[in-house]
Amino acid sequence: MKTRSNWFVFLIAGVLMLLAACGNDGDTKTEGDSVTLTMWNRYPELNQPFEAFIAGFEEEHSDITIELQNIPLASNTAQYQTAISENSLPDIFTTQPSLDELVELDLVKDLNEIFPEEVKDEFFPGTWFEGGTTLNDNVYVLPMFSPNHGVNMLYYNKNVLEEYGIAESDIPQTWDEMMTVGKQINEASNGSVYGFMWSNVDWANAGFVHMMATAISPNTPWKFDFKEGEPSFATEGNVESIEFLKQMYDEGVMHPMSIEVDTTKAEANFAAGKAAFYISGNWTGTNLIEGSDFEEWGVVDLPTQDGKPWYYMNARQADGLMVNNNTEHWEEVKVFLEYAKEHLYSEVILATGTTQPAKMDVEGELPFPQFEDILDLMTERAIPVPKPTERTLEIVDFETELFSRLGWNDIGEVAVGYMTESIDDIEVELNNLNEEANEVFNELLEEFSDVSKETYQFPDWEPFTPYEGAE
Amino acid sequence: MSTIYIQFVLITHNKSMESLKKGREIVTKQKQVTKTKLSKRTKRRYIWAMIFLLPQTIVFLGLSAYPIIMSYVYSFYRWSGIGPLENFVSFDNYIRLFGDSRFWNAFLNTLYYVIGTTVISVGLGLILAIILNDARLSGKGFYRTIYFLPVVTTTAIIGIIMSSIFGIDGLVNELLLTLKIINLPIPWLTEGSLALLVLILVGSWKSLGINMVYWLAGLQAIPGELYESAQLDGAGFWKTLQHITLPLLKPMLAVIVLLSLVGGMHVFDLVKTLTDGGPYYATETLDLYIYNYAFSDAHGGSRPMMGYASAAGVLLGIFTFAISLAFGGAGFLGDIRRYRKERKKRREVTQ
Amino acid sequence: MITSKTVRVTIHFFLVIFGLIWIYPFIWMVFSSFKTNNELLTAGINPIPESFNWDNYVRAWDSANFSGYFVNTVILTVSTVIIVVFLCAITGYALGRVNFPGRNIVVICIAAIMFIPKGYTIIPLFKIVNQLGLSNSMLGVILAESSGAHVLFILMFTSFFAKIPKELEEAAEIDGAGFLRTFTKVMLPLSAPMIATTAIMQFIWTWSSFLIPLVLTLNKPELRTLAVGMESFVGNYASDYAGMAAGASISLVPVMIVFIIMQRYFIEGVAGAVKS
Repeated sequence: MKTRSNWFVFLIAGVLMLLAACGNDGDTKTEGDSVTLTMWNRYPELNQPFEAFIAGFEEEHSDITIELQNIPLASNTAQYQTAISENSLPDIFTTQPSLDELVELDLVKDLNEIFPEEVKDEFFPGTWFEGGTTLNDNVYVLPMFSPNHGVNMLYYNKNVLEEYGIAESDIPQTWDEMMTVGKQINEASNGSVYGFMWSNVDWANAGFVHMMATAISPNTPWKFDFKEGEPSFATEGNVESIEFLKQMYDEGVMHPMSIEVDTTKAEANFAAGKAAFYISGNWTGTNLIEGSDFEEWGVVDLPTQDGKPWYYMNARQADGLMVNNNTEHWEEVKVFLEYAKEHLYSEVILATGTTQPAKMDVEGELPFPQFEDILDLMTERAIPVPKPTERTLEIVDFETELFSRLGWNDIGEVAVGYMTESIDDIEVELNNLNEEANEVFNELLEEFSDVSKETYQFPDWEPFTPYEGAE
Repeated sequence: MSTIYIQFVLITHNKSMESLKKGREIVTKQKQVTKTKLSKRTKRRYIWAMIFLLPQTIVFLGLSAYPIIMSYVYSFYRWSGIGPLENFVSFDNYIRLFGDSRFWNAFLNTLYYVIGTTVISVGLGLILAIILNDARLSGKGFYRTIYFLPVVTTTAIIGIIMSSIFGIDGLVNELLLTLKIINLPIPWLTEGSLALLVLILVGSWKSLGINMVYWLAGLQAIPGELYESAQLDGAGFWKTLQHITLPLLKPMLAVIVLLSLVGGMHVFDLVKTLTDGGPYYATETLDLYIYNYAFSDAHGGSRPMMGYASAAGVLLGIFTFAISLAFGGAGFLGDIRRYRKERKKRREVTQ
Repeated sequence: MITSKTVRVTIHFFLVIFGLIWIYPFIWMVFSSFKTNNELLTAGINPIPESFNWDNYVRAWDSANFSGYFVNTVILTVSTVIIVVFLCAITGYALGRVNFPGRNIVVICIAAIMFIPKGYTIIPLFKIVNQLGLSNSMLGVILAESSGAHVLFILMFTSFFAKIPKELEEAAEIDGAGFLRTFTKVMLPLSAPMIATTAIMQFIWTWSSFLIPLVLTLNKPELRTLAVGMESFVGNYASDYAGMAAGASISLVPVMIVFIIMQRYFIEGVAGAVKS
């Protein structure tokens, strides 16, 4: 008994000592002459390239050390929130919380001296937009991804096409062709291979529907109709696109596993030859190469209803680096940003092959040959559309409030709900949601003095024509 | 695992009532005899007790009570979790919650889940515990470990594991197809009510182990002499079960059910990884609903609604409280009544 | 109770079959941890890997830094367990053995805490730890993990200590032991089953705790725990499920060992608390 209680006391003493030791290792940020900058990255696919890039930077600037922290995707919102609430953001961080809030709280530094007008012109049109990379014409973000990021395209598995005798010229460019080719493959393979692989991820569905829909209802680039000046979720384009998804699913063109898998699993199975086609964003190429070790694929433009042209509303979000307004090492941060401006686009963005760099004409080796096609499709399909935020910044707050109050962001889950028959009538459901959205929209118009329906109306805008913003 | 506490509440409550009585007796006796102040020893003991209580009190007040109180405060604000609390909206958040059909849908889903997992895992847990309590059964420790394993598995991985089992091309469908029980694979994870069923099954799978342990504890608390005398009386397994084991486990049942209910009300990570609330909210539970508002992705175009989420959290707490009260209240009162009766009997015997 | 041999064999048969179904997910997980991510995603129902490769373990252990997370998790869990056991034992002792005025009110208050609806508490908790100057240190995480009321454990200790016969304490006092000595030398060793129960339950909790370690180690990724580290396998557009399976297998082993070693005391402890 005696030894046992001694053991207990001993353990407690041990832990207390341990705690004391842990408590002591406080912030020893500066060692000698070297300055340590902390940096957060919330893009898991950029972890590795960032590490290499930072190594290169540290070699050139031996007096600066960058401490890179990778933020787990699932919890990045919580992490940023807490850091903001306690003013413990790192020196440099990838974009996450809305810019207007950070500016309001005085937590983010303007980067105007890094980006004078002539430098800004080196970037893709649409890179600099209010509420995303700039606020009141002050630059707050070092943009990494081009505003064209997010364009969907049709990936095809060359092995499957070859096996079922489909020439690359026969690759569907309309929905009907997709149905025909899909059924043909499914029949020829006795039901083991399908025409189309898909995933049930909300954002993927929302993207699919909105992009397809621009071919049918071009006045609504995403959530708003810029002619009527109101939220518009029940467009003919949306209804038809969701119906098309369901038709593919019901008639054996879409692989049945599609409605329960995420993009990772969908891509792996597409690469494994379980389907001929797959639709996803510009980042998919690198996943196929890196994740599935699969090179026998190609990429073309999306098939649309009757082959009508479509477009992608560019600059939907800003992806880049921000700087903590309270950084103690602004000079060193500037050195880093200047270096990043020269090297980041080729060494991190281009080298990864996930997306187009924000800067135009970046020299560098392409990580895989198909990336060229991906870049072309991005430039071709993404076009600048009207931005109500250019008229009044209150829009930023207005829209955040709108979607926060609605409790749903988009209609991706509606598409899945319809395919899985949780929703009987897609038109009725979309109309209900649209009504709800318009109700809250009108309510908010009362509360926000600077915003009116006219703020969302652009009579001079021609869909498919890059919008210059001149009025 | 916010578990077995009710029983302890009961025990200590009874105990404290008893000692309260005793204390009073002592006090009256002391008063009668000397009317002096507390003895030096008692005084010293009181001081020691205070010292012993101090650390827990500090930790609790500082690190538990304050955050809880703050979360109540948040629920009266429109607040994104960032910046100062300035937009006081009084009961607005609550009123909106009451009018939100998605909230009530989540409430119902939670209720189904709670009832489903409780029935399955408490029931199966009992059967398993009775079998694994037999002293002569070899390999008890091995079996117990096996059935306990799911309790300690990282939930993050369960989603992908279960999709390999319940997926359209998963093990279950493959088995049913081979056995020619079905002709077409069943969409376990993508048909609303089936997905909820799978969620309940997986939830039961994960919680069975802990319920088994509680039942085992209950079984071991039954005095061995009872079994021996039953054996002497020639009672078989079923008779013993019916007349000794089950009646004596009755008080334990209330506790375990209650714990399972309370635990189930807070199901979150399992749903998040298994179905993420889909298809179309068919499996969204209250905790997931709260999470979706508290941590909604800023890139979705909406900001976190911490105030609203806090209000939902408070309501969830009230529901849990109500359910505990409804199920536990009866048992609690019954226990007190039984306890009083027994004490009366005992006193009569000693007198 | 179980007498005939055939019955016993039947029972074993069912236990094994049912047990196999029960742990099939683990078998799948462990096998998957030897597959490539691609194989895992496309193999369908076949659980056996084409070849056993340790790449995922190497990746999890080295690149995903599970080696460091492992040490952190052990430090965090062991410290938390010891603190919680200590806090609950002394609190339970004071409540169970000293009949101080207002004791019953305290007990009722503690029981009531269990029912207090908790809202969203992570930000205020972070604020407090930060004000104590303990954010981004292991001590802060340990403290936060050790917070909470531990109602269950306290009441368990209370009822246990209350049950110990008075004579034992008096004997110790006659031997000249004071309050503290009686507690450490006589009472605490007696409560081993309670300690085991508290330890194992707290161990399981803390081992898989996610949000607190995540938020409190914001600026010190090297202080993260296994449960937090698991998230690093999930990406924006691509997830490494094979790596995750390896990570999950790694983090499962210690909990399993703890349960196997302590399960007897664990059940005894709960039983002891119930018995009164």
